[in-house]
Amino acid sequence: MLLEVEDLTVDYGGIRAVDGVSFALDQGAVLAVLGANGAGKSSLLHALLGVSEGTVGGRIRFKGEDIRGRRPDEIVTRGIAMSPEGRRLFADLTVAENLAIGGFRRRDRAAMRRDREEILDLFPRLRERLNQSAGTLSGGEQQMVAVGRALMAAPDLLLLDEPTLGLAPLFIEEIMALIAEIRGRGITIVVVEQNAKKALARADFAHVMERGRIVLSGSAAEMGAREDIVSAYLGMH
Amino acid sequence: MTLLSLVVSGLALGSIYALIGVSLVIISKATDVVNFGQGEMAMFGAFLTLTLLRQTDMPLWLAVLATLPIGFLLGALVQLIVVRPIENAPALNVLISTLGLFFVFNSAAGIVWGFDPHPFPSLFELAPITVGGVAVTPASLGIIAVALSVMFALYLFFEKTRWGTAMRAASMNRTAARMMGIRVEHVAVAAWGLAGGLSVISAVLIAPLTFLDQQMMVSIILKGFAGAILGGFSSLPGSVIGCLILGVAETLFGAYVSTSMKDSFAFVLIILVLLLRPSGVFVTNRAKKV
Ligand SMILES: Nc1ncnc2c1ncn2[C@@H]1O[C@H](COP(=O)(O)OP(=O)(O)OP(=O)(O)O)[C@@H](O)[C@H]1O
Ligand SMILES: [Mg+2]
Repeated sequence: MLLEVEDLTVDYGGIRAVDGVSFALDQGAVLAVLGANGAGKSSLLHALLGVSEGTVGGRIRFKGEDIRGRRPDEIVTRGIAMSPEGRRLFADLTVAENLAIGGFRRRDRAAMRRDREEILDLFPRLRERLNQSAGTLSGGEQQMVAVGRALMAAPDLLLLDEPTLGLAPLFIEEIMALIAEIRGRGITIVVVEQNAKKALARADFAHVMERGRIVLSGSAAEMGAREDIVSAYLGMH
Repeated sequence: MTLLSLVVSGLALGSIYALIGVSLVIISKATDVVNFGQGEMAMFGAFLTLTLLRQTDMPLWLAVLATLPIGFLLGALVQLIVVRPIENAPALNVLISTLGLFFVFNSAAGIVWGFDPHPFPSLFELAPITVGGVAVTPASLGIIAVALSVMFALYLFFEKTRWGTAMRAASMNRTAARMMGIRVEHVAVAAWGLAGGLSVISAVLIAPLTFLDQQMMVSIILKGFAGAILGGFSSLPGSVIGCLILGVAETLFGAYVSTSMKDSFAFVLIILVLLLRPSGVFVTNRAKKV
C-alpha cells in the first residue's frame, strides 16, 4: 500500500471537519473523493500534505512510514504534492518560476530539467508562456500551471483539489484527460471533484464524503453507473 | 555648489535612504511587519562594527564587509527572539513591539557606548575633488557605488537564485509556499537577516559623515520609509528610485529654499504622494495584471 489512512480526524477549534476517515490506496490507483461543499474534502488533503490549519488525529502512513505531524517540506520530499483548490499560483512570478518552485525540494537538476520538458510537452500552451507572469494567464492555463507545478516535485502521490473549478467545458475535458496521462506515468492520484460524473469516469475508486465522514465507497465504475447514488449523494449532474 | 554636485550628494543621501527603505520593504513583504526598530538596529550594528575596529587591528574595508554578517545575525536574532513569538498577535501589537525595538536598541546603545557622538572612519575621502568641472566628494561617489553594488547583488539574489525565488514566492502566497515545501519560518528569518545586513551597511556609510551616535538613524529610517512609500512600498526597484528622488529633492530644497525646512519638506512630499498617488508614483495600473 502506498497510502494508508486510519481513523483520521481534523478539528478546527470546536468544529470537526474530518471525522474518522479510513482508507488505503495502492500504487498507481486513481481515487476520486466526492462530496458537497464543506464535506471535508480539502481538509482531508491538507492533512495528508501536512499543511492543515486544524488539529490532525489518527494515522497517515505513506510508503510504510507514519507521516502524521511531519512538516510539509518533509512530506513533499517523501513524494506527496498538491495542486490546491483555487490554484494558489504565485501570481507575480513567471510560469517558469512557478514550475521551478514546484521542484523547490529537489536537488537533481538534470532530472528536473527533463521533468520540466515532459510537463511542457503535456501542456504545450505553457511553453509559449514561460516568461509570462502566472497572474496574467487564463483560468484554464493557470490550472495547468498548478498541476505542472505539483508535478515538478516528482511526486509518487498527486493530490488534485478541484482541478476543474470554474473552467470552461473545453478545459475541463483537457484537465480530466490529463489524469489518465499522469497515471500512465505511474503516479498515484487523489482527485477531489464537484464534477462527479467526469471524475468517476477517470477514477478506479471513489469515496463520497458527507460531514467529515466517508458515507459511501466503492469502484468508480459501479458508482458512476448508479444514477440514483450520484444524484442522492452528490445532488448534481 | 553647482546643481550637478548637489545632485551627486543628493544621490548619495538617497542611497543611504534606499538601503534602509529596501530593508523595510523586504521585511514587510515577507512577514507583514513594518519594523520601526530597523534604524536603531542599524545604528547598534554600526557600534558593534566600531567596537570590532577598536578591539582588533582589522582593516576598515574588512570591518565594513563584516557589517553584513553582523547585521544579518542581529536581524535574524530579533526575528527569532522578539517577532516570532508574537507573529500571530494582532497587527497593532506587532507594530507596538517594533516601536519597542526602537527604544530597546536606542537605550542599549546609549548605555553601552555612551551618548556622545563617536567619529567613524571613512572608506572614502571626505574632501571634495573636481571631476569634469564638478565638485564632488569621493565619499558621495563611494556611497553611491557601494549602494548600487549591493542593490545589484540583491537583484541577482532575488531573481536568479533558488532561495531568492522562494522568498519572493513566500512573500506572495505563504500558504502556497508551504504547500511547495518552502519553510516559511526560514524565509522570515532570512528576510530579517537580509534587512539587518543592508541597514547596517547604510549606517556605516553615513556614520563617517554625521558621526556615530545613538540618534543617528532616527531621521534616516523615516526618510527611508518615506522614499519607499514614494516608490509604492511593495516594489524593491520602486523603493530604491523613490529614495533616490527623495535624497536629491531634499538636497536641492535645502540648498535653494531652506535648510531648516529640509526635513519637513520630505514629509510634505510624502503626504502629497499619499493623497494624490496612494499606491506610489511608479506603480502603473496593477488592476490589469491580476
Ligand atoms: N482553516 C479553517 N478554519 C476553520 N474551519 C475550517 C477551515 N478550513 C475548513 N474549515 C471548515 O471545515 C469544514 C470542511 O471544509 P473543507 O474546506 O474541508 O470542505 P470541502 O469539502 O473541501 O468543501 P468545498 O467543496 O467547498 O471545497 C467546513 O465546515 C469549513 O468551514
Ligand atoms: Mg475544498
